[in-house]
Amino acid sequence: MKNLSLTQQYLLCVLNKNGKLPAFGLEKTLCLSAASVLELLMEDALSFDGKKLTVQSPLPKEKTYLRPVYQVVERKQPVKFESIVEYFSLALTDKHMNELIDSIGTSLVQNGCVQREETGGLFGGRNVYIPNEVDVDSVVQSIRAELLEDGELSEDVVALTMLLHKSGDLQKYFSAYEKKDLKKRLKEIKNNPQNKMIQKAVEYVDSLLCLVIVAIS
Amino acid sequence: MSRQRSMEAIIASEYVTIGELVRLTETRYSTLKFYTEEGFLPFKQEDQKLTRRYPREETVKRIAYIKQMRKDGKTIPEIKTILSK
Repeated sequence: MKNLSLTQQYLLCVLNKNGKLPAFGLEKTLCLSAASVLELLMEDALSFDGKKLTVQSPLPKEKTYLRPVYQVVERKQPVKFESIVEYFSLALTDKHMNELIDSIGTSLVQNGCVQREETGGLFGGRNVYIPNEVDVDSVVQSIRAELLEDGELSEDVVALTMLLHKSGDLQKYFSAYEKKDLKKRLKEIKNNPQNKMIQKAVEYVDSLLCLVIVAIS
Repeated sequence: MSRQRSMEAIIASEYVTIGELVRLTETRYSTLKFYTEEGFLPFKQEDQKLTRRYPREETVKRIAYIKQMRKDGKTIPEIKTILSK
């Protein structure tokens, strides 16, 4: 299996067979932005004081695909976590989100996990990233192995699990028989104080989703 | 809380978890779990609630051997007999 990060694994799991995020997949774009911020926090490139994000150290060379997020934090710091998620996922146009997807997608192309194709459009083409099923399955098998076994979970797996759960993409990887164990594991994750930062990220996604629902209705 | 180990760190370590074996051998989790339950893959476990640790080199070789036997058309009971010898 390739060395894929939280954000790369999340995008790989949520891309559909046509290489796009589903048209009505707001949860997925919110979670993708949240994953990018969490990854930068886990790499200590950003820091979070409980309210706002600031840049802590230069962007690591191997994390250049997160540059779009890093640069916005750098420009707006100190900035709220939810403001960054909002900037990418709830803007008037898809420009910022497409820029982030292109950046992460390109890193996945370099890893051989997706194929980039260009779709035609009236105002210029758009890139789509067709996921390689074998690589998606590798990520899924890895999550299953961690969640269905006893023992401590790594921070990366906890974050990926929570975000996939939030966007409704986790359950499909488990059989009806395994779902009981999954439920127990998710409860453990939620109750573990060590996962506070990840919990907080999911709460931000939740509150932004609520805002959108209220705005629409 | 710990971070997920990189492939380089996994390859350099003596013992690995089942999740790491999934990554190392590109084998499905359910298959490895089945092999473990059948006793094909020896492991260490300090406590029943703790992670199982597999000796990396030996287990990777063992999985490759089982895969080869499956390719050669051997059934699971036949493999079990071969491995128990």
